[in-house]
Amino acid sequence: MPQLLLRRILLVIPTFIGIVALTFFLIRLAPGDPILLIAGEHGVSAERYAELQKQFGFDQPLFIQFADYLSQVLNGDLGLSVVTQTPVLDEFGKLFPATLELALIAMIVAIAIAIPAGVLAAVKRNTLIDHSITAISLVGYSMPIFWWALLLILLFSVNLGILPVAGRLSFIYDIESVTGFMLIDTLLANDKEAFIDALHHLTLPAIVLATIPLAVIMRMTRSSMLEVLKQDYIRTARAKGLSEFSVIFKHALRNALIPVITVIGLQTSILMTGAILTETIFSWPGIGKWLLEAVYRRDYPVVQGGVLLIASLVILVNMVVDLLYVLINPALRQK
Amino acid sequence: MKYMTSSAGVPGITPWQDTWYKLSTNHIAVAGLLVLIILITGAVFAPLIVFHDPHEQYTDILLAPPFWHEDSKPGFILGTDDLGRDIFSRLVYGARYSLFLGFVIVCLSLLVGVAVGAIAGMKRGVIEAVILRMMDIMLAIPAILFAIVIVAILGASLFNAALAVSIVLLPHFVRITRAAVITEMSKDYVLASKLDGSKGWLLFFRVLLPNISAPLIVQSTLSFSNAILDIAALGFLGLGAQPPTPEWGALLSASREFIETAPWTVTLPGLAILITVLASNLLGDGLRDALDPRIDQS
Repeated sequence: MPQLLLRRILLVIPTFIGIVALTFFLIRLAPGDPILLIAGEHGVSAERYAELQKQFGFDQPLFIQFADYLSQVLNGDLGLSVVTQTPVLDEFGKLFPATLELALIAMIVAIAIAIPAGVLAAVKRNTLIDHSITAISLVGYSMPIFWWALLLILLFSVNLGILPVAGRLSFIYDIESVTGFMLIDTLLANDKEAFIDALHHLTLPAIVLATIPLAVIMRMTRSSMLEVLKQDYIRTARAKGLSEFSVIFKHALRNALIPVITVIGLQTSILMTGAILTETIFSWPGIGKWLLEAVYRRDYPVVQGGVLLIASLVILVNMVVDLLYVLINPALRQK
Repeated sequence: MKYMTSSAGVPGITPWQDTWYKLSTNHIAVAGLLVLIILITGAVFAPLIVFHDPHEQYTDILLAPPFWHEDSKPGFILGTDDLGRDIFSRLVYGARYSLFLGFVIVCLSLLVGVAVGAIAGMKRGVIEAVILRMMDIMLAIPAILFAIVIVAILGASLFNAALAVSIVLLPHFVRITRAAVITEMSKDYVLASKLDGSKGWLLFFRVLLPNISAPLIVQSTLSFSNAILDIAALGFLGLGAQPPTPEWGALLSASREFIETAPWTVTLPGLAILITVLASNLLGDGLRDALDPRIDQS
């Protein structure tokens, strides 16, 4: 097994270098002069042009440029934002907690609803409950989430007026950022009203972001449970006279969860996709909104660095999930 | 357990007839297929169905509500938008963009993906490793983000958005084709065909492709719904179809500011997207069940 784990970890290296290469060539594939793109719409003087050319190394051969870029990336230098002139990594670090908080809450909501619902659907197979849960999962899976967000705003903010439509906290509260997680920071500041306000701001974006993972996990739990419930050891467990609760939760669910965990891991990428749309609609100050704005402004260093960081995050999470999969799966553990 | 779930092996019945038989007993999948057929018919015969030109601005009828409201205007069954354009006409014409683009995107992705996947599966070795690594890299970047970046580089247009989405969908086709080719290559009929002199693309198209078509058909249907969602998302973000093109995502984006005064301008285009995506997902699920022999006896 250690070999299997090591192989999986080593596999990340070529993928990572490939992603660095992709983001590197990205800016060079853009039509037009990359320096003019970096300089922005206002144009540059000949001096400034030469300066920028030297700064970005465009006067060097391509492979030297790539080697330089790779070593910069490995040293944690992702360049400066053209718009704000601050390091891309600093901007990412400042905004990431907002996205992480939203994504974690969304994932907790999704898992907390999806697994019990999936189990229920499998146990009550072909009943009204099963059909309803399956229908919800199908609609959730097909949902254009940017429209779903607007529908929720229409209902909860426009018509009922009970939930805010934008931001993480109302302007009246002034909370010091310690962890970057608004829910924790408001608690640390011991401001109960601000905590509730933050929770209100989080509700709609979290529901929107949770929708697709919820549908996917529910569906997977149901089909995995159905598969497991057919197995001989379940029949044995029942024949032993174990309670139905014990059969389902101790014997069936624990085995059914193995493929579900893989699917949960795969949601990282879906959450990041969702974050771009959700954060844009709810003006949530996270990396999704930041990246999209960088695209609109043609802030290429931010686009380059942001894509690299998000992709690295995705491969890292996928690797951890794969390792977990080996560790929790008895069939693979023995190898 | 139903008896007679499959007619496979019955003399005189082709695999396609068998698939159709199984699909036709799945009412939900058939419903999805019917909805898709209605939508496609509507899109093709759009000029015969609608009463108004989708770009015609009736400046004296701005933001008229749909027919179930008291203030609705006769002739404008789903109301009008902020420029007085008939929403029903715009939605029907919008179906042309979503369905046609979805189809083109899937064809492009399927064609390139099958070719690359076949090379990986038949050549193996270094070529396969390089192709697989490249697909891993593409899959590591979240779909919409990847599409947004491609569009940002190429410029915002419907054509570039479609190109970006077909690139994003590519890795799935490559992986499925490769896996299926490797499985089939070890079978006797392929060996027999090789001994008979088939090799290269001839072997692939004549011998392998018909036997690996089932997973590809399922993936195509599911990719079709993804393509429609992604095109709409790009349109919504202003990176796909540009106004006044009546593409559904662009319609949603344009009507966002009227969510309080004229909510129907927001609800209707989204509903159109949801119905189309749901229908093709239902059909895709049905096809998967019908084509997957493992589910035969359940």
